[in-house]
Amino acid sequence: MQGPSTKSFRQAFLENLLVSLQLQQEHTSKHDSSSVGAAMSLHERKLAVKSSADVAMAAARGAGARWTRAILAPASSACKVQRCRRIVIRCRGRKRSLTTRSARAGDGGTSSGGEIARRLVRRRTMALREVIPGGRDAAVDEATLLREAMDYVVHLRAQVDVLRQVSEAVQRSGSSILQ
Amino acid sequence: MDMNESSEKGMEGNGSSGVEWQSQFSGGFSTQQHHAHMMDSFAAASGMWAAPSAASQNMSGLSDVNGMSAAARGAGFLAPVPGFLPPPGLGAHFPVDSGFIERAARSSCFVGPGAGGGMMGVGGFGGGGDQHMGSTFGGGSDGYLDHRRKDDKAEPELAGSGGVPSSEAAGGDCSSKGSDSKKRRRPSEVMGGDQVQSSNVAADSANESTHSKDRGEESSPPTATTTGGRSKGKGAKEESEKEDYIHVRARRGQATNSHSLAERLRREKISERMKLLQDLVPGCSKVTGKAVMLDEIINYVQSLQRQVEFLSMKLSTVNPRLDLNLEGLLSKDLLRFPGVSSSSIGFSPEMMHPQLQLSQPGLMQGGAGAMGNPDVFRRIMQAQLGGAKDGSQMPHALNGSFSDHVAAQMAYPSSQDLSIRPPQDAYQM
Repeated sequence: MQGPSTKSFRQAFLENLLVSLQLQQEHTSKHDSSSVGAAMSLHERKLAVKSSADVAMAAARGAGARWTRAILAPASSACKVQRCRRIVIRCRGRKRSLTTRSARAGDGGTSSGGEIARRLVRRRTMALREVIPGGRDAAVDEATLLREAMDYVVHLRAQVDVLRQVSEAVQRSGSSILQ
Repeated sequence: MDMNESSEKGMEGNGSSGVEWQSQFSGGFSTQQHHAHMMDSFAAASGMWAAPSAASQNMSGLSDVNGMSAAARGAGFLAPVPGFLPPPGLGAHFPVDSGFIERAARSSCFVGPGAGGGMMGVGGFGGGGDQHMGSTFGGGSDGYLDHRRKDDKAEPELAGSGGVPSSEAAGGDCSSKGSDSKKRRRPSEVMGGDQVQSSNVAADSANESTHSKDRGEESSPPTATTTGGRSKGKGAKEESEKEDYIHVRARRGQATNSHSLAERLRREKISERMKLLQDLVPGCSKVTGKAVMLDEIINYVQSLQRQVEFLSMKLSTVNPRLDLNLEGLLSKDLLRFPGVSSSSIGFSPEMMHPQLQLSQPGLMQGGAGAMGNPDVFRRIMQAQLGGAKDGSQMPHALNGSFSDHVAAQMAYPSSQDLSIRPPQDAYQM
């Protein structure tokens, strides 16, 4: 896949990042109209940068993958209906997984090697679902989940590279200004 | 012959890896001789081989050899085709030879994905004895279909074959399609099959413009319906029909039950994706088995996410007002982009920074650890925090076994972890 390693994706990501950071700053300045000089705390700033980076990554990727929708949907619209639906789906997904897990676990202690392996795989698939954005919905089967994971990993790597370069550049410019 | 030229053109694109593939294929054939499935497997192998080669070309960090060997292993039984040409006798079966060759030679993408396109042409001829030429492209052609559907309206038989894919589609989709080794497409419902095909296209394709459909639904819905209804034994032929079914032929000596076929397809698809993921995650080439592989993937994704966290923390510490100098930053980064491809290269300039040199002794100790990425990430983290916060605990959490990721998350008792979880939850909400 040549998407994330091309210049275009990185440029788009950078632009989105800067734009979203500006938006974040305006957002906070609007809220802190009373205390103009009060900067955001470190934690808030980190959250702002991180969420803007994620949104920028998802936006630069386009609406092609499932995880992008999962990231962009709550960030863009405060649509309550959507959120409720997601919560419901998530609960249903959790319930189903729990029942299947308990049903399998009620074996009575017979744990052959294959069963143990299957259990491990199932547990880790659930864990992967938690990690990949958008993997929590029940409608995602294993094959789709793996594909989403692939896509997400590649774009995450690009995001990390871009962020690192940005931070380096900022550091360098900051230190040069001081000197 | 035009066929020779086009296939050779395609071979040039891939260079040495194509030669290796050829040798592997011929070696593979010498071990087994399944004449009944010669043509089928040839088509399947072409599809599968197209996928790894395209995928390897397009994914950074993948090795062609790896993808080639995977394809060769998967298709161990192949006709020995010197120079990737089908036996000349087969050519007579297809009335649309010249049209296809012309189309193949004409299309620009044919040389782009290199050997994938070359194999495309050969695979079509390799499916001898089948009346539908388009269907013999099996795994390889599925992703190509919707990319070229506009051009192929006049020639429905060629639609399966003439559509040379964008490299992303080939990379993502052919991997899944090729693994379904006996899939066939009906050429008659090429138009109707567009819907199915576009839904089958890879999600990881960066070609957003052409594939705008929902990628969430894989080919599993169509395969479930079709294999349940229409899967035949290994000797049977599919009757020509108008529905867009994906026909699966059972392999020799395996159950032809509809459920087991669907199950096997699903498993093959999943294993194919696992192989691709193996190439993505660094240091997982020797790992076999789903459980360990999944573990590694989870670790890697989590480490990448934490990298993002700490980089954003770094950014927020460096400029307290979140104002980035647009022009200066963009110019500097755009200048650096062509040279930077991997994280290791990007990291070395960082090492020269005076801030990091203070913590060099700490880095040496931290660097004694394990994998590449957690190592880099640990360095970054230590550079930022200077061991002030939870530098000692982070390596522990990283090096510990991630058999249960929930436990790992609990074992990370810093305040940062509490901040990590809610944003992630916010995403799923």
